[in-house]
Amino acid sequence: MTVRRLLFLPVVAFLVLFYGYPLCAIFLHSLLPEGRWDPTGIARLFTSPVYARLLWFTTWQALLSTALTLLVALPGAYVFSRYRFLAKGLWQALLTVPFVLPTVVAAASFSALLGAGGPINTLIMAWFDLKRPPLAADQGLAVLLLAHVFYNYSLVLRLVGSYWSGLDPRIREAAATLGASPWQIFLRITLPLLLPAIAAAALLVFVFCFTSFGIVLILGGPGYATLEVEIYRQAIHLFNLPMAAALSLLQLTINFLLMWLQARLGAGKQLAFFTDTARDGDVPAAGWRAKAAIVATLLFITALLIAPLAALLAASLQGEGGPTLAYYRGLFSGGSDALFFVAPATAITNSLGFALATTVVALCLGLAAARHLAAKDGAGSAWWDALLMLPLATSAVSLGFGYIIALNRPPLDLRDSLAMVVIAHSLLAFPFVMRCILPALRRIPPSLGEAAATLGASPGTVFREIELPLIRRAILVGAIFAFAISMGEFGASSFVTRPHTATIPVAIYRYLSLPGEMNYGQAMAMSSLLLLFTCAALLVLARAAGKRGETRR
Amino acid sequence: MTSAILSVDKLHKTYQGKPLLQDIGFTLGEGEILCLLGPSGSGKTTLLRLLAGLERPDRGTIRFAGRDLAETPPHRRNFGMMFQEYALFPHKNVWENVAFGLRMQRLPAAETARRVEEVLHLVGLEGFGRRAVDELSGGERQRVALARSLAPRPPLLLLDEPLGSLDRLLRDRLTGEIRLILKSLGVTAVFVTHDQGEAYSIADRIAILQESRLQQLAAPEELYLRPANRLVASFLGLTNLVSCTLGSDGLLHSPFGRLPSNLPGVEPTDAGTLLLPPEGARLADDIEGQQPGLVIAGLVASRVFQGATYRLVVDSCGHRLAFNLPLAPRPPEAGMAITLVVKKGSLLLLP
Repeated sequence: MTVRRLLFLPVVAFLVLFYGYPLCAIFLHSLLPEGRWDPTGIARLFTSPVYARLLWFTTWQALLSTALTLLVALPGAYVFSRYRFLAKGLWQALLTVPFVLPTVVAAASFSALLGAGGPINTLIMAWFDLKRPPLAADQGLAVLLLAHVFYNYSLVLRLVGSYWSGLDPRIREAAATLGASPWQIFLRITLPLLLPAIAAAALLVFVFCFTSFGIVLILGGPGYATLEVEIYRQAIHLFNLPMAAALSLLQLTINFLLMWLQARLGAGKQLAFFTDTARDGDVPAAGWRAKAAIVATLLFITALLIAPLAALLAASLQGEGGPTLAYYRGLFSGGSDALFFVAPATAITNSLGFALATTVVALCLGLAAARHLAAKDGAGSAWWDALLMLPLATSAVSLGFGYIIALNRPPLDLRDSLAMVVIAHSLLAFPFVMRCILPALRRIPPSLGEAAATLGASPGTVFREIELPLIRRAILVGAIFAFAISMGEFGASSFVTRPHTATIPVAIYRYLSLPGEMNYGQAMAMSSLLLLFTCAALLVLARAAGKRGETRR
Repeated sequence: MTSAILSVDKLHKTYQGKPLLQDIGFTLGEGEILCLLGPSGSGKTTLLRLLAGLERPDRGTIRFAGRDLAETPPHRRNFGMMFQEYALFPHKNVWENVAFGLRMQRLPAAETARRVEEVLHLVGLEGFGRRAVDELSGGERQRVALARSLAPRPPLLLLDEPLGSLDRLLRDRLTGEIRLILKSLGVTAVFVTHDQGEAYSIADRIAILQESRLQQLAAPEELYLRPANRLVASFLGLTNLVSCTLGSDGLLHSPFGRLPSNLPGVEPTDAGTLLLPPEGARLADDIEGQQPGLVIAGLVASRVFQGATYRLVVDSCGHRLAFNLPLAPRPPEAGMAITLVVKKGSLLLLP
């Protein structure tokens, strides 16, 4: 027990140093910009109409995105929770792609699909014989909303769907025997039971869209900025650190309010979005209505999820003069003298290195944290549980900003250290790892460890011989998550990376913002690589999850 | 009895301010099988866990082979323990489960293999070594758990409701088997159960735990024939308890009449309890000759056929009594009047 406690100390230290300290720095920077009390920055947030508009836009785009997502995802959730159909497992696997798809890749995909040279514009121009692309689409509100729906569709579908299929069908049958019509059953039984799940999912989607960064930065164009984007603009482009700090403080406050709201709703319990939904009471589709519903859902998923990703792959292989591998070749050759130039090959090796290091750090932290929380004598474990999840709910951009203002001078000067990126990624990844491992640890009956102890196993041996083998799959899943999170992380990375430490998403963003066909093509090629990597990671994940089912007791 | 190997003295344990065990003391001889019997929540599992070292007592001592165990963690006690639901390691097969304790002792591989085979043979599971534990039936799991706890040849074996999750038939068969196995090895064992039948057929002695205290410690027959108090009696299903007083005439006054005071049990007092064993009654017509006894006249409340006997519930003098009567002569059915005689020799006086 004492060893377990001791191992939890580094987790606490890590949180204090790399979460608490940067947040404090933001706090100080916004209220004491020059070391003196000066709340004018904060005051300007509330007096200037510019920031009121910013906050208003951030809020209503998030609201609208949430409403749109619910509108299209709830019917999908019904279809997936109720019916059995061809290759359902495959469709479900496909739906997990957005969970780990880097925002930059998603943005690049939509840009490829709806951009001036994209398939949609080309098609419309060919049909209607137009001279100019009708959709000036890669910079606009509609695309932004569409990308948000893309991201959150499967989240809602899985959250609500798994809850829906978990509802005991006998409740509906009981209502039917009591004389309720199908419509009445839905309205009076199913819907009220679903409401908590819907509310939880909606809140989660709102939080994601409210803190959306990469999507808005790339797809929103100059006309649209959320709080996150504005923090980035103020800090990086205008170098107005006090203003950025003030905005971050506002963002963090809203984050914590939303988080608190979520806790109040008990939403945390529905957060198990990686549960297997395969066991639901699927019935084969009977009647044309059911079949039509299934077909419509699958078509919609194809259009929403597959089309952009396919367009991305196509764009990465499509030069002006036909199919080409030039962009991929370009990634690994040549250079440029441009300021802020990031060599693609460097970015790729950087990303892989950071991801590996992040995986190791996040696994250690996540395992220590999970073991502390799972111990039956873990002091205040509910409290710690909530606290350890905070980094997940904190805006990554604010964190990144906090890092560059806090960790750039003694006592902790990490400006030029490679560790900065790894630390940021680990902070964002380890709560996920913990979430993966904790349920597996809690499923182990305490009697197993006790039995091993009575047979002569010391606490260390119990961990090695009993606990570790039983949570191996969970550790694997956590490791893949950590790796994927690090590979795709953009918000914090856009602050903490330097040209020589740039990661793939940062490089993609740079290439997307540079003019020229070659740059755009290379952005597409790099995004495609990241996409393929993500899919590969998911495949491993699915197999790991599948095997976990076999060894269930 | 051989000299005591385990001695427990003045053991106290509270949990969140609630007493779980109070003033527990007993000794156990080498090779003896002790059953801790009591209703759920009586603290018997807690006592077992204290012996195993999985929990620490608030006060009191546990000595084994003369050594105080207060500072010895469970993995250094070398006791075997068989858990409720068995706690088999799901990621190890039968062989690996059984070998675990031997590996912890760092026995040579050959010796480990020999001992595993030996103990698998003992529990009748030869050839099961390669099986995964989730392929086993409940009874097979139970045997694996027993084999695993026996393999390191523990000087003391602790068993926590080892038959609790099995169905009735299997349970009856395995109870006998467990005693045979334990006796053939000469293991000293403490066995927790809430089932009297199980306790009677396995134990050399039975300790009744109730309301966090040790109420009585005795051999099975003695326990049933001479329960120490009302609490023990009613737990054992001896529910025909009526109050009685010692009259100035030197006789015992019970609701059913007067009795001589030289009954078995405790000395008669002003406020005693008379126990009428359920097997002690016969129909008045069925008695041959004039056997002295307590005559109970009343109404039959229910008559339930139970196979070898009838269970008769009789209301008499404001008391509800239950008796097991032979099938013949057939006792009257519910609603009829009845007269029973309880043999004097079977009556027992409790405090």
